[in-house]
Amino acid sequence: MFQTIYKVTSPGVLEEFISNVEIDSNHTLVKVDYMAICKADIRYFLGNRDQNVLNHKYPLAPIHEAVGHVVKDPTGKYQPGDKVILIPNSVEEKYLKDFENRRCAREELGNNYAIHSTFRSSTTDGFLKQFYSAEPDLLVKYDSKIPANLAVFSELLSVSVAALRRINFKETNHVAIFGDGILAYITYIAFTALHPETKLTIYGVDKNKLAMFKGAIARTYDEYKNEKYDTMIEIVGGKYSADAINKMIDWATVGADLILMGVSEEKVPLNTRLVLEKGLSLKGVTRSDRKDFETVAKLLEDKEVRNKLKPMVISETEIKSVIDIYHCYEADINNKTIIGKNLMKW
Amino acid sequence: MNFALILAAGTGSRMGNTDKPKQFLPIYGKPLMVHTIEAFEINDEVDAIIISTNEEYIDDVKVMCKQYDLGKVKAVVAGGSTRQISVYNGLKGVIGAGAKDDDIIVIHDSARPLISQKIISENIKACKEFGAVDTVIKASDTIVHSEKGEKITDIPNRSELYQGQTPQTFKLGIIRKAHEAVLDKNIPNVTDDTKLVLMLGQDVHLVEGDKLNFKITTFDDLMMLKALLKIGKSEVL
Repeated sequence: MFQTIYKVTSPGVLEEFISNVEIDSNHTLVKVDYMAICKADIRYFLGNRDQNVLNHKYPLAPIHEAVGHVVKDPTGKYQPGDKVILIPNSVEEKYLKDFENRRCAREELGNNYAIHSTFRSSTTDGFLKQFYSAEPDLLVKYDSKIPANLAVFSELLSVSVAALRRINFKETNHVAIFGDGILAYITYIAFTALHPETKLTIYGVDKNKLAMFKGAIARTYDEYKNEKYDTMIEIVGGKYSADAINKMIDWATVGADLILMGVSEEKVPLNTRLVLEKGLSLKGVTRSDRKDFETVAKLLEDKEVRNKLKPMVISETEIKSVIDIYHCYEADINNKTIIGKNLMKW
Repeated sequence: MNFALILAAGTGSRMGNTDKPKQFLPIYGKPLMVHTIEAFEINDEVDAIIISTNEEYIDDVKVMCKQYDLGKVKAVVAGGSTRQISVYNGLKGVIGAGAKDDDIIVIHDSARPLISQKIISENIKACKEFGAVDTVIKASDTIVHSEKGEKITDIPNRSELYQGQTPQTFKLGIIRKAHEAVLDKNIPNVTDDTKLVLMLGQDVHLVEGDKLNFKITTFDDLMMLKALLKIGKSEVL
């Protein structure tokens, strides 16, 4: 069967491509129901990355946040109609034997950090297409009663769950999240659902956004009350990374863990003297593993989680042509004030 | 229920030197018509598929359905010497598969493999409301009318002109009556189903098609399809 897929071919340009959808006995055929645009998709769309990197990426189908339902599954692992989360990252077994990938086996890390792992919409084409022929292991079934327009936030949730896996909760009394954007909000949702017993404070700059973090202590940086934190999660990224991470270094207890999730294209100067003095650990988190997606599928069954996701749906657009995709990109690019996304559906 | 009737009885006489009709030519390792049928096989709204093909290829098509796991195909029937007869035989196959007069029949050329899910769904949706619909695209070129092919008879107003595609979709009761009416008058060669329905006095509404939903009729069309596919790439992982 043939279908139209959409790829970014140069900054600001999306083009239609005709492609063959392979339907064979090793793959599960999925119809994509909902898609959300990630900040990384926006960077590729706008061309906000090093030109050499972009030259290697284009043409590239964007989108790695998506859910769908099974249309056909010759492998027998799924039933037609099963609702599934699409896992965007994968790695071939052969690469896991490489010396430099040996630590991927550690529980807290995972195979998706492996060199040569692939990530849809970054190293290979993403999910901006109506049908996706998937290896069955790259799908995670979720409860059919859960609305797909909320389940589409699963990939983001999975990254938050992966970050929480890096926290030593036995030695942590108080966690602070730095950032008041979408991923910070998603991490707050995962945190309050999975670790309600641990105290959480969120720091940000926008009081309207901070008001969404209901039930947690949410403050601006100016409202800091001289507390120290055992674990801090940075979800700021960009040009404000340095300021946020240096605050974290200042506000850390001795031996604290600093988890970094924000993406910065520039190198970030840090107060390493204080890192050394306090014996701090910095951990990077961007990738989630299959087990994180399975945790997310369970999390979505929690009504409180779904209620917190609902305000994130700013709009839903049925994609009839490439023009609709441009409009969704434009809406997400221009959204600076609301924690949420403009979703796409077929 | 919604039935798809796939017409695969063409001879491919305009395809040049091929030993098989065009719908059997391999594209990406599978016959062209399989790509088309798969588009209906995976559409959630299509319940069953009937294929009308050349009598000598019926067994081949049945094997194809097994080979490519086309589980919605309920019957493969012999077409006829004209499109009209192939459709009529297909309709008998649809009735044999249990269709009632209120059921929807989506009739599509097997040689239009770039049919989109949107067009199929829009056909079904519009047919539920109007009973008879035709897929069209606006004419982009000026259409010149010449009765004898020597000089211009007329240049119709382009804003009122559309190019017909398929699917053409009808309630079974309507298309069945339309076919029976012309057969009663011994007319066997009307090339378009919507024309039959119009002859019955029934309105036919328009559904927006897509330029990509072109029919592979000539060798050039086949080259065009292959060129489009080369620009894209296979999605197999």
